[in-house]
Amino acid sequence: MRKILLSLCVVFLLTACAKQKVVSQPPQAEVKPVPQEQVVPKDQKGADQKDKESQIQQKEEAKKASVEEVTPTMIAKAQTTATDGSKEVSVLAKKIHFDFDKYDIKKEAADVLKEIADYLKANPDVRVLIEGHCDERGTREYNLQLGMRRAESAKKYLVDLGIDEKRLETISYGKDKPLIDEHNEEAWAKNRRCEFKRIK
Amino acid sequence: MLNSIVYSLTIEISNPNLRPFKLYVDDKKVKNIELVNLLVRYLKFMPNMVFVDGIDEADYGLSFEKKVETVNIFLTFLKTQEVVTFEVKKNEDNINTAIKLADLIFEKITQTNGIFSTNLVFSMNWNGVRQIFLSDISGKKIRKLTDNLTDSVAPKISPQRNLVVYTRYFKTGGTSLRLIDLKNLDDIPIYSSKGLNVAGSFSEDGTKIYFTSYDGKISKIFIYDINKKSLESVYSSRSRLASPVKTYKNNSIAFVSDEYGSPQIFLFSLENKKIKRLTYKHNYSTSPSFAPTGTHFLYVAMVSGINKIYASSIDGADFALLTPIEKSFEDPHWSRNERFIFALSKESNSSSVYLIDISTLRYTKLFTLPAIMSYLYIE
Repeated sequence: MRKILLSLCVVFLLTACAKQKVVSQPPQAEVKPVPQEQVVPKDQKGADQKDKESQIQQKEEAKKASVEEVTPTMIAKAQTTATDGSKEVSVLAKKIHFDFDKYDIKKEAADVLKEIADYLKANPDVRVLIEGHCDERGTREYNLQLGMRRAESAKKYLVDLGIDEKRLETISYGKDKPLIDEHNEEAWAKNRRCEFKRIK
Repeated sequence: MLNSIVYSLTIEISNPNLRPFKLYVDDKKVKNIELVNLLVRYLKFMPNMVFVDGIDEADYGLSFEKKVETVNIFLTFLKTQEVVTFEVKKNEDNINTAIKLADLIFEKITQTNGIFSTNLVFSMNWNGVRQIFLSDISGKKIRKLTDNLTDSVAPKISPQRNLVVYTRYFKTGGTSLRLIDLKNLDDIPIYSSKGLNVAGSFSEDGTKIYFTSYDGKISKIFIYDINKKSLESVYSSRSRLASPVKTYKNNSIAFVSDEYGSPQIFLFSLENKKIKRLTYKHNYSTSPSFAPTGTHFLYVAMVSGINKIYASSIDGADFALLTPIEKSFEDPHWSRNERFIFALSKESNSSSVYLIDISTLRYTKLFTLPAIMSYLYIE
């Protein structure tokens, strides 16, 4: 009886895991111009990376899609402003800015990043999410990539200043979350930015 | 006045189905039937459908007969007197029935695929978090597909209209690609990694997904095989890569790269791995979308801060501006019959989906929502 129960448990666990499978096969082709990185199967990755991915996958679950039908009235009511609810009061509230379609760190941005690096050195438990943002010009998908480069530029600069890269995460919101919803050069300049959020 | 030669494409000129269709609608006997009203409303979305007042001016006639259980619809080809009859039961889902009928009528007249059953997917704010939505072309039937706690963006629907892939953000950085099966409503993760993962399109047969992944060092284009659950890295670069899309021909993918300093459209052959640059005329060219016949593609070029839609043949010889107005458009996609372009335009606190007729460049607003729709994709 115990064997049967054990077998059933194994079958249940295998079935339950099946839907959460994340792709892990190696690539079948490599092309130039950059030497291709292998897409390493999970079990061949380093322990740190493995831990990181398992953390990510814990949040990733199979579930049912919604079927809710919505009306223009419901849509209008749902247009609340997105906020994360936190009020950042430290140096992390500062932002750095970029030129149009660029992601290199300017002098003023370097000064802010130096302050942030000093803060992170003084607060070794703090981890930070760097958000890359763009102005409204251009297209959304391409701006997602640009925002990501901005966030990565800021991260690299902080790492070069001595911050452990494991304390820094990056994400891009492209042009989806403008700081100022206006259509002029002043607003665009303020919207081309990186923001720094403490990871709780 | 627009110069018709400058703004015309070879595909329009060579396609005999691109002339206007003169339709006379006799709905006097069935004025108050919702199905008939909806059907006529859908047919009016077709910019090439000209509604005429008298049967003498018409090429086609549409008339109706109300019965106890059914509504009979007659499409008459006035030149040949051929009559096509559609019988519709009452109390059916009027919107779906009207869409199907409009497509059948469209297909009978034009001998090309209908556009009314086109599905639209997009992302939109919902109580502070962006979710994924699916809509018909009238915006009358909108379904919220996700109920995620974090932002969900960049949905793409498969050509078979049964799957939607999208990007979901993690709160602490990183994104995952998730796949929704529209039949059983399973919403499953298919690829999670650090960085940004964004799908560009499905393959023509709907079995593969082309997507980009950027881990902070290198951008890659992957092909994910849905049936085998396998992943193939086909191209990588230190440049920014975006929007890998199907091209219908020559076993290749088009994508955006800033390899030469500004974003341009490139073609990548999956057979010989060669790359060809497709756009040269503008400094900022993004959002490629290939016509189903594979001969032409659309792209968005930023000109004086305005996003304009252009169409071009692969060799660049046949080239046209499709939005010669001071209005910014995004996310252009071909209708399956290559007669129309679907595109998105943002207003102050709202956004609209437009249908642009490529032969007349007339644009018709399909619907407006009191919100900012983004990442429009159609099939």
